Amino acid sequence: MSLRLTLKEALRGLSANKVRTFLMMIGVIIGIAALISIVAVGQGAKAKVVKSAGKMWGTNPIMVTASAGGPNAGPHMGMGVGVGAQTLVMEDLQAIEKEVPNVRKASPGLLKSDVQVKYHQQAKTTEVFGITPEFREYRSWDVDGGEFISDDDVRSLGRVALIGQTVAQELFGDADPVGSSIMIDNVSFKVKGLLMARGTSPEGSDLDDRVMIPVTTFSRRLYNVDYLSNIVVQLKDVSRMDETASTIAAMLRDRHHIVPPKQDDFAVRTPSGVVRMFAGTSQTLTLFLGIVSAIALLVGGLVIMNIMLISIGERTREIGIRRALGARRKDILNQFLAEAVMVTLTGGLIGVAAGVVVARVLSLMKGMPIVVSWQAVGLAVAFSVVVGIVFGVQPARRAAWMNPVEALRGK
Amino acid sequence: MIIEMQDITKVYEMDRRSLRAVDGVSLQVEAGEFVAIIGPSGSGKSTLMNLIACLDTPTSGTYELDGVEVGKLNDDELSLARNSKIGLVFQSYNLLARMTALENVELPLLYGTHSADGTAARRALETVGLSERADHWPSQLSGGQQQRVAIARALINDPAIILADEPTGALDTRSGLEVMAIFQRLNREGRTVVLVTHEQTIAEHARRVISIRDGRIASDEPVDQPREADAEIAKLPVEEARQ
Repeated sequence: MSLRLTLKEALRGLSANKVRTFLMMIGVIIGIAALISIVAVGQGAKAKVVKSAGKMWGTNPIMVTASAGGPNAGPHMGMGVGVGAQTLVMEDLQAIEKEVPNVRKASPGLLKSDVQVKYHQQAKTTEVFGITPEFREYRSWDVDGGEFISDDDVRSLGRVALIGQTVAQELFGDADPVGSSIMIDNVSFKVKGLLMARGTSPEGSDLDDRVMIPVTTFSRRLYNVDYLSNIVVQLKDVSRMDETASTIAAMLRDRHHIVPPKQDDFAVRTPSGVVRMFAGTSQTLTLFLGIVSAIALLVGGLVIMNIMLISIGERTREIGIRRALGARRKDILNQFLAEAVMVTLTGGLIGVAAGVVVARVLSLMKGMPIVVSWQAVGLAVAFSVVVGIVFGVQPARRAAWMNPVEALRGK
Repeated sequence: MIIEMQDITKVYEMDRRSLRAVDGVSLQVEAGEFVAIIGPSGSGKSTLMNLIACLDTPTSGTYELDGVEVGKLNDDELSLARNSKIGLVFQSYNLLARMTALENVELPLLYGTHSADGTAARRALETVGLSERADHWPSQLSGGQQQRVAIARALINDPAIILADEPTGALDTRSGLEVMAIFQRLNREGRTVVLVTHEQTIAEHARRVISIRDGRIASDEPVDQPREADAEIAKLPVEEARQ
């Protein structure tokens, strides 16, 4: 029997008892609606984290930071980890740039906390970053006024600085800081640019509370250090980020003569890794709601199985007639399986619609961001089909294996 | 030869006793015959009918249906044999309530190789004089009409035999005779008809009567002068409702 006819027969069977068909559907509707709304809210939260992580991290670089105490040491995600640790050097950067094929550019970074910055009588303690002009690209962070640090500034150890909005506010008030002279640890710098506002990082620190100077000025003129706080690595092929990160880690381990059980004296982080870290916090909730939807689907499936067994009992005669007229076991099996899948698929589609509505309502009422992805819808539809097959196959088999003679004698 | 049974037995095992429902039946039916199988309930005629219908397989013996050895067929092949070689007519019509007359007639086509576009079904309904009722539901038809729909369904795949199991059992005299008249006409047109019944008068419409007792053939004789269903209907008192 062709698929079209099988579906037509299944539809006929289902439409004979609409209330029963609806009861069969309801578990699947609830399960799928729960699944869809969970995923929508979960992905919405994740998208929000990715967005705020992108604010701090830019979009695609790998960040290598110096650290003394293993990969997870340090209070905030790589940026501050370099303070004090002196394990990364310029040669590491050169090696990364030359020996790892997928690396487009590796840029050095230095940072020092608790630095005093003064303008006339106004003083402020902030963080100072030594950067290169690439910073603007890999962090997508430009100046609001003035100019960015240039290659010339880096080459000439220029005493120029970019200041963040918070620093500008505290030192200059509402006046334009560009062109003024400030003192950084008692060395005079010219304010070359005012950084664009960035707001708060995912873990709550003020990203605008900073001063940035050329990395060479930082290491040779201001502090005389020969190590790096971090190396920002930009890639040729971003899709191979995780693989490249492992290559870099392996190379650094080799260069630093680290063999287990000795811990790494650096950390290699990727934006996806950071996102994973943040996504982890909402995972408990997702897991809980996921279990709820799984139970709803399971119960829905069992209801379908039971109602189908009842229905097959009532339709014994019909099965006998069909068998007597030449239906093979396979034809009967397909007919009842098609009924089950039709119920769960329809329930699944209704559930998808209901789930989207629920997610929308949540986002309106609680201000939660939601993302309804095609993958989630596809997964939900696939799920509902699987439920239909898993819970429909046993009743359908029972129908198919009835003895035709006895079935004809039935109701 | 349409039916060629050699020493067929069917044994049911129940509670350590074995019941020989059919006990060594040998039977031949040729193309174009009209045979009635008669016997009281419990005689084994229903079991024999199920065997002929390929709904069941014999415990021993050989059964050739239209040149095919039924005992060697697997379940799918038995289904195909039921579909293509046998047109079954039941006592209780066995139409599916959720299908129109036309759809019921077409049902065997779903499981066969012919396409169901309605033309064959309409022709079959015409044969039994019900073309007007093609879109009626079974519940809107009288018993006799339902049985005629069932006969149309039996004809749709042009089977080697029409096998009818007590086809008049649930009908009043007139409807029963009308059904018998259709069988007689089909037989005149060359179809092989096998009729299972417990009523002597119904059996006498056939041209050969095989009597079954205790799972065996008790007698197998031609009927000298088969009853003519059409003539009998003509003799019935005129019924107001049927005019």
